[in-house]
Amino acid sequence: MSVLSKKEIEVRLKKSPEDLESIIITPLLDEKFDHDSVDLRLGCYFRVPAVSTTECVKPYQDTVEHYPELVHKPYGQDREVNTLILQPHHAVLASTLEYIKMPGDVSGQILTKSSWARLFISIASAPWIHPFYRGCLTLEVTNLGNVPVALPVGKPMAQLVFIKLELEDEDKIKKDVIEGSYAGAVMPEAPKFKA
Amino acid sequence: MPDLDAQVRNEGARILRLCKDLREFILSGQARKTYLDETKDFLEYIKQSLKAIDEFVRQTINKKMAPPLTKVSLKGFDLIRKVLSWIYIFVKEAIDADTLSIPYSLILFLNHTAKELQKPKKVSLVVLGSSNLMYYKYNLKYFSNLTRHLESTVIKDYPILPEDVGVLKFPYCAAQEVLVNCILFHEMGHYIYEKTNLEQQFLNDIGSNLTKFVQDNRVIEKLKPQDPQLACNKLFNYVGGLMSSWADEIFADIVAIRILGPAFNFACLVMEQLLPTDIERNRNFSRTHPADDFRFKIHAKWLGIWDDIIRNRTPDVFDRLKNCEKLEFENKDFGISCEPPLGEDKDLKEKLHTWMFEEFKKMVVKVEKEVLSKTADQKPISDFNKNNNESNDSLITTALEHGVVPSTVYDKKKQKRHPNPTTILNSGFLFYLGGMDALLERVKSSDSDIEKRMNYEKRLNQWLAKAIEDWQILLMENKL
Repeated sequence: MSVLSKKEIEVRLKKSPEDLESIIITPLLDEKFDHDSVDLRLGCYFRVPAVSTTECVKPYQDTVEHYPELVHKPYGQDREVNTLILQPHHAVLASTLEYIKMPGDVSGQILTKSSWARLFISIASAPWIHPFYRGCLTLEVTNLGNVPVALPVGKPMAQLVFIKLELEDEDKIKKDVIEGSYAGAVMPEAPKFKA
Repeated sequence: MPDLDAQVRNEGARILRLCKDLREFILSGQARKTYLDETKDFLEYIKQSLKAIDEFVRQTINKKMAPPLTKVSLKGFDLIRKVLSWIYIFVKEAIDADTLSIPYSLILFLNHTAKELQKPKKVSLVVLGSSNLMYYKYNLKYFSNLTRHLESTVIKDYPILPEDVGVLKFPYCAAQEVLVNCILFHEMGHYIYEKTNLEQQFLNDIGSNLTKFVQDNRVIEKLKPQDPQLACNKLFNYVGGLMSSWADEIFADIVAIRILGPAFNFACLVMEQLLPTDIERNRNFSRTHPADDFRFKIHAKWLGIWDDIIRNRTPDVFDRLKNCEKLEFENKDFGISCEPPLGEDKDLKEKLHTWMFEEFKKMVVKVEKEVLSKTADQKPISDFNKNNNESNDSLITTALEHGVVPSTVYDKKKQKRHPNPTTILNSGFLFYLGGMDALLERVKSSDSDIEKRMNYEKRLNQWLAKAIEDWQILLMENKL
């Protein structure tokens, strides 16, 4: 396994979606990438744990699709409007502003940007992204600190590292496939447990 | 003698409580939700109105008044109640229209476009969910006049409804749809029509030309009405009412076509699939709308530049448009499904309807000229066809086939492009109508075919909405 370099990322970004090795990141606001990763911004949609009359959420038994409540903070200059305040020890589902398509020969890992980590903000508890996944990446943002933190829409919060798989010829996927419950999502989606 | 002071106090207290309840309703909604600026401004206007009413009623109650003045106050309260009954409707609908309950990115683009078209005039289009399965522009004239009346006769500080406000409605369940909501651009067309002086011009023309028709056809002699003037007025109301509504609809259709191209026509077709079948409507002009096939005839004319694209990608739509284009008033292809106030004289009725169609043709020419001058800068096909080895349309189609939001695409020369919202809507619609199979082939799922299709039609709408939202972000960041 090896990490894709900036140059390799740039080459793959310019390939057509038909190319199994293509990477797609859209909208592409800034092309100044790090040597080995791409910064991703905080998107406009959140799912917050709703105050619910449900006694207990029971995955596989109940529909939990409406438990985390969807909240929208539009992109813009108005900091009052486009900021979500995350209370200490609270968590919220967010997503990246960028929509990603992974190549067939590459997995991804999403990490908290170090400045945010220093505010005790963690953005991912399920940070692995499979080859061919496409969608805005869901971030499980948690405030592990003791003071509320303002999360600004449109600001870089995560970095995506691309890891090339060492595949034997017979393991290589020859055709683009769209697979998984959350494939194609443009906002954080509620859990979908399949019995 | 009734105690008028007590009556003022009782009625006043009731009005004050309603104002307070409405204000609290607005504040509780605003505390939890996010709104577009236009909706926020509209809610702010309502809050100011409620404040002005509240202050006026409190002052009135606190004044010691002689009986005639008290009667005046009670009359004032009556007008206030009329205004409040309108405000009452808007408050609930506007509070429900937060950014998650409307087609957010499309409405951003709608307001952006309306502002461009109406420059330098201000525009504020408030889009609300309707409990009817239809789209329409709310007629604010009556409410606006009420607010003027209230300001001039009762509350001198009462805020008059700003002229730039327009209220459009869409079926509330379609909040996550992008494609069918293209019809909102037709409703925006009604808003623009209202700001022109075409309606007045048409009514003047109809007035003078109808007088000639009445004379030439000896209508009064034939009908022998008791009150000839009343009969003429009724006839004018019938003809003027129908024809100005038809002109308004045609104006709105052409505006939508000029801005969106075929996407608007496709949206009409999709909407048609949801409405109860009404064969009458296809060829008959109604009290409010021209016949559907006449509207399609006009669409066909204005979509001429798109002919090759429509023919190749959606042949069924092309055939329908071309069939409608052949229809003519002269061949009696169209009728009017309303009864004119001309008694039992069938011959006269037919003559009137034939005359109305002749006059309407002249009106359509004027409508077309006006729309053309308003939308001279709109050339949706140029971005769609933008060619540098590959058109934006083909790049979007490839992206959608691979389940990708088409807001940043690269052409063969590795040049980055950001297609504009009209191109996204047109390519998206063409993909929806004829390209979904290429996407569904890639989807690996245990769902049934119809479930899979429904899920990915929803995804398609989400991708297009996201692409339009991304375009707004890129515009905001000067990255286009």
